[in-house]
Amino acid sequence: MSVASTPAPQASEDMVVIENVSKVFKSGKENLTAVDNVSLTVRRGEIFAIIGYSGAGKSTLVRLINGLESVSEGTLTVAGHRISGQKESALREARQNIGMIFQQFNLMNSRTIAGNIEFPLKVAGWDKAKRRARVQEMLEFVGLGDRAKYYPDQLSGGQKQRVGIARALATSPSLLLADESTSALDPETTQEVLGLLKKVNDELGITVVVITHEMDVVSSIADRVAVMEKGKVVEMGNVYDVFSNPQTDVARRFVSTTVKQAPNAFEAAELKRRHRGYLVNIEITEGNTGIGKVLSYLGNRGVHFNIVQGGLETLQGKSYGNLTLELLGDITSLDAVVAELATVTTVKEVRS
Amino acid sequence: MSLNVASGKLVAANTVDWNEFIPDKLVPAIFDTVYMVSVTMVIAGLLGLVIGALLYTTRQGNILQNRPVNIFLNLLVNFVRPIPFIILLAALGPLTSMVVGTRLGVNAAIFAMCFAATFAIARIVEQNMVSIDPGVIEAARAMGASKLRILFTVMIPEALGPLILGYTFLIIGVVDMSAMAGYVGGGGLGKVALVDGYQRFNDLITWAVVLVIIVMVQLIQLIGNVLARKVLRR
Ligand SMILES: Nc1ncnc2c1ncn2[C@@H]1O[C@H](COP(=O)(O)OP(=O)(O)OP(=O)(O)O)[C@@H](O)[C@H]1O
Ligand SMILES: [Mg+2]
Repeated sequence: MSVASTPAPQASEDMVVIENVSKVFKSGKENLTAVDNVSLTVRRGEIFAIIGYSGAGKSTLVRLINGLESVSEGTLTVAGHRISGQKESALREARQNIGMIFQQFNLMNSRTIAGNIEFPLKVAGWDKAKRRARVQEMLEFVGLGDRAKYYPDQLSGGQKQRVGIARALATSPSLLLADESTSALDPETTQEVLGLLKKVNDELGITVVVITHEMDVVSSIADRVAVMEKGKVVEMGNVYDVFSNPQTDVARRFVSTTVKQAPNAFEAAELKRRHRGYLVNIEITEGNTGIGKVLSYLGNRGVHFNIVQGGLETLQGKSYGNLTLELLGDITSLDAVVAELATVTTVKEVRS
Repeated sequence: MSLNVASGKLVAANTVDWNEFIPDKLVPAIFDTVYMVSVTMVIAGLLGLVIGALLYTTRQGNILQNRPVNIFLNLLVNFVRPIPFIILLAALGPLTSMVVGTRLGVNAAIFAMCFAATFAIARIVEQNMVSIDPGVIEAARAMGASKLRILFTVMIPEALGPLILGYTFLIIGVVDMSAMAGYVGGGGLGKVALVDGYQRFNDLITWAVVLVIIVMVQLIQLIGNVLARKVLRR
């Protein structure tokens, strides 16, 4: 491809562009703003997570992306094609380029596994021979090559979601939307399905948008994340950046589900009761060698320390977390140590 | 026959010459009934499916969401459904003679039966389709399927098991209607039971007809159950 013929980089790098989009549901006289002035961009080839508590508007937002719901305000494009304000017939075409999987799998019980995967191919007008080959190919891809003639009610939840993924990817879409795709599964099966989504992203280069209320889903596969609350995106960025340094309460609450946070007042009182030394909480981030240096010189100052509480996690190959230290020594030395630590990381005194 | 009743002298002859009755009366009557029921089920089955599917799909939030159409169809169905069939038969008289050309006979009966069965089937179809998982329809929409495709290749197949049982239930209702139609000159088993049995005080004939109807109904139910089980794979 010559340089001249490639489209502007902006257009080719962005898979989903959402600009000032709102969705208002009218029921009688009540107006409910499910999505409130959201702007975000999903880049081609990434796994983008949208996390938030129930009712935050996550499902509504993904349903806007493939036009299952229409936007009330703002513009939305997928792979450069406009979705907002389009007629149903135009949307039907666009949807063949956007796969979707669901929490409850939503497979047709009246069709076999093969029949379910074949359905979108029929919609897209593929001929029979091509359909058959593609169905088999997809079955192999999701590891269900021997289950073609089974019916959905003969499969486990994890297997059903694999079929859902095969069905969503049959027409080779460039975008996959996954709405709580693992919420109905046990932890082990969840990991299997997430692994499959990762494979979809790595091997097929398909952009994935995952909706979830589980921090684990985000930390195990996502590149970037948007945190939603009450219809708004309150935080967004690289997964590591957002979760190693959460700015909002919602984000902090999600982080605390995977990694132990600095002690709250109750925990602090408990720690103080058990440790007579000076308690400080320090933040750990990847590549911070300063903390180690400070700690290794503590002996020279007549101060020693114990690690009494904390949590560390790895995200995208980088560590983050925090530790609570008990420092023992005379007051002036302690002050000097805390001041020194504060130059290399965030230090909080633990108070009850 | 009116002579028998009027004179009152002849006691009910509870004897039947089966060798004559079966080939001359009963068998043709069975054919007439099967004919009436089949034609009604084909016509009313299709019309009812269309109206029932419209009742369902024009509901709030469904693929053809349309409040005025939904309200109109509901009113129409609710208007016709409560009318007892025997009264509907009489009330439809003028319309029947306009459409069929006569108020009597098998075809006149079929017209009234189609009319009543269409609306009954519409309700049954609607009720069975309501139980379809909306998630499956959403998935089909997300794959870019058109509304008609969703109706014919998702909704109807997904509801097929219950639909078969619903239709079976209705065929039996239509057999019942066909017997009543005998009263206003429709043919079939109803007429035999009425004219040769009841009006001649011949209980044996009445019971013979009842027995045939019971066997028919059992057969229909059996076939319906087998088909539904096959579709539902249980
Ligand atoms: N079709 C609709 N009509 C009216 N209100 C709706 C509709 N769909 C969603 N809502 C409302 O919009 C808000 C956001 O709902 P949404 O389903 O997007 O939340 P969510 O973040 O996906 O929650 P969950 O985690 O429970 O799935 C909720 O208050 C919900 O009641
Ligand atoms: Mg949701």
